[in-house]
Amino acid sequence: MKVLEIEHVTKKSGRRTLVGDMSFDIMQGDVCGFVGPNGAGKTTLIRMITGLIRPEEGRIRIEGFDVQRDRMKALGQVGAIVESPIFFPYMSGRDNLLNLVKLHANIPKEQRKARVDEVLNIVGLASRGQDKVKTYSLGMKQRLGIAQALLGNPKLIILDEPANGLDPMGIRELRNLILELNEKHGITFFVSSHLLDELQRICSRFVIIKEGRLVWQGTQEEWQHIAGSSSLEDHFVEMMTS
Amino acid sequence: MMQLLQSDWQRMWKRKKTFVSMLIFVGIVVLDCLFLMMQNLGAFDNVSTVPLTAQNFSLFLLKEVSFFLVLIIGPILMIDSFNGEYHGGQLRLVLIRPISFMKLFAAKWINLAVIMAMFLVATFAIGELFGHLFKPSVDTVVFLNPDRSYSPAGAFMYCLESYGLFMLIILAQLSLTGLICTVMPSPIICYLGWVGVALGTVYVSDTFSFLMFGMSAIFQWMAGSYTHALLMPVFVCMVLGFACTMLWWNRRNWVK
Amino acid sequence: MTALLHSEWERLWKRKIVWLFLIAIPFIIIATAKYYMGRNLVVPLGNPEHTTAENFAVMAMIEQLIVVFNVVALILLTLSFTEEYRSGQLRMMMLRAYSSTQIFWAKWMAFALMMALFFVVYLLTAVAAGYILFPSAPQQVLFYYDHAVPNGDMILYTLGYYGMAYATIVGMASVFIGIGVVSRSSTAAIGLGMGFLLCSLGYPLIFDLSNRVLGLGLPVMLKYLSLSEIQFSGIAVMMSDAEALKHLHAGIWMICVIAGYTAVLMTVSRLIFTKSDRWI
Repeated sequence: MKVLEIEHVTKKSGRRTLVGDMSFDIMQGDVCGFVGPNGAGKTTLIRMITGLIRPEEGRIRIEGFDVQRDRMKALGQVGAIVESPIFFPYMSGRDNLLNLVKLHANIPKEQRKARVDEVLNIVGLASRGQDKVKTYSLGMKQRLGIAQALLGNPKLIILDEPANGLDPMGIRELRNLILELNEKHGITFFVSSHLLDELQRICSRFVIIKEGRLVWQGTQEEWQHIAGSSSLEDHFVEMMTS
Repeated sequence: MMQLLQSDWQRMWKRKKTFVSMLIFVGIVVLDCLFLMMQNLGAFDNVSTVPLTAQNFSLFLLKEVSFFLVLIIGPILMIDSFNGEYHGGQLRLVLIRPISFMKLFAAKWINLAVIMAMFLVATFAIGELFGHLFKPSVDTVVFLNPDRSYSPAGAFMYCLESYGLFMLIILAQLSLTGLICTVMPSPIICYLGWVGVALGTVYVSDTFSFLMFGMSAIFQWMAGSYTHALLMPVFVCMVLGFACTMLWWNRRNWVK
Repeated sequence: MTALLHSEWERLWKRKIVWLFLIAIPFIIIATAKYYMGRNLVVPLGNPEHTTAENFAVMAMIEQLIVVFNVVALILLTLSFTEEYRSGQLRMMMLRAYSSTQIFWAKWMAFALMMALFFVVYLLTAVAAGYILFPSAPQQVLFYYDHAVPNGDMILYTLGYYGMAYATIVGMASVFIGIGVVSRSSTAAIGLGMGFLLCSLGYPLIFDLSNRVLGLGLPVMLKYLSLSEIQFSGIAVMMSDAEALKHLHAGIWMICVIAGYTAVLMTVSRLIFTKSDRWI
């Protein structure tokens, strides 16, 4: 079943095309890596998927709901980190989540606190929940970012460069968390990153873009097959420079 | 909508600035009360004065504190809410939820209106308290129009109506600031934008000078000597500013 | 140091707000002229408030100094000190081979030069608008003058007025810099700066009232401890040529007040700016 459908999406800034006629689908249960060099249009597309900006052409559907026309229903299925998660620094991590959980109509009032504690537990921040966000390390902020993405019981989580600034231990924790959420809770992931090595360990599918256009999409096995004896990294560099 | 209101209300009060503004404002109101207590006359302008009494004290108190509300506390709270959260990138966490942008703006507008009303209620309550404690009570009160005198109950309603009018002016400011905060890029520029609009209108047309000199307009309007329309331009600013900003929020690109 | 000043100037110059203000100057002048044209209908010739081609530049400064120039100074300084200081942009400067004291003074000088530019552009625009929009008068009646002055002296008076107005802005800037370096956010800096301005405007009223009601008998010049009062009426008093005011030595007193504000607040601000380790 398709969780995310991108159909001929185009976004321009003046005469420059940021994303051009892009189409691909993400299926339920996928952990999909979204790969491309800096400035390829990854964040622009993620902003469009999360309804922050509008495409000039094309459609984006989440669980069958059009993000532009049926924004509330479409985004009800999504949790996201767009760029780095910037929290309200004057509130504790728990208060940030308590504030944001109110915006999910599918979580009844009496279950809000329990849901916040549950997601704090999932990301391993239960013991630091009461501390102000400004005292958190970058890794903790990323984990809190995932916690806020989990709040509304999403079917799809979109992560934009989630490993940015994380140390190797933080990256490993994040990887395990994604795999656990995918396996245990059946959540679909769409993860943009530069760290191809890291994506290789968690992603079943890849979408590769360059200069705002789709270059290739398929499963990891398919990519490995076309890369032949070269590593995926070498093949990726080859795709980007050709 | 209720959840949006609650969530924004909570964030507003968690910002230290809101609480500190409230404290500073109460301090200013009390200092202004002390300043007024030293005087025997309340001045409507450079020429017209009346004796300060328990019945008109709160009205003159509002005149003293109105500039703090219009030029400092109001714009700062409004800009922090309409532009500061977005400029700082924190609002993105709210924008990616299943909410309507129009309702989000409406929630912010309503919450700010409630907070500004709280500032006015505090001013009125403190004014009435100080007035009745430290100024003589009289049987008849005259305001700017010497031909109309009021009983204590009438004077109370007169002051209340003046506060109500000032609240309407604040709401017009709120809608215009919302629009300025949507058009201008950063909180500092928004503030300059607001000062520019408030001051500029004084020079451009007397009809809109209530944005800067609200109390002067209210004094004259209540006395029946205001030569321009007041309610119409106030509602035009309020409704047009609100509607334009709301539609803009629905159509805009949120790139921060 | 010259390179540092150049770099500060360049960053300030690249800000939209500088251009916005420069573009706004002609509009401000036109709005002010429109206001004085209306006033001229009720203020007779021979009254110092009557605007002529020769005195319009001074009248335009009197009208806009307190609000427009103070607010622009506050905003420029908030951008330069609070915003760069709190957002971490200053780190880029701190990593270079300059001390924080040098950065502090370079910022101040860049601001002072920018304001000087604004004053010059404002003066030139006002002079041009004065001659275009107002009728000329053979001699000028000035505030706190026992006699009218010829137009030649009016040029010197205008330059003197702008010079003193500029000095008050530099004095006011020292307060805004103090507020700027202790404020944790730009909006807080602006709020506190505007609060200072309003309190400064209110102080003379409270001073006069307490002096009268409580019978304190304090010297009248203490009113000019307020920088905005110096801007409002002090400059004209300082430049007066009336026998009745000569014994007050207003000029010396007000220059001392401005110098006092500048010395104390710049010293304290520099200490906070350089000793604080709250680099983000």
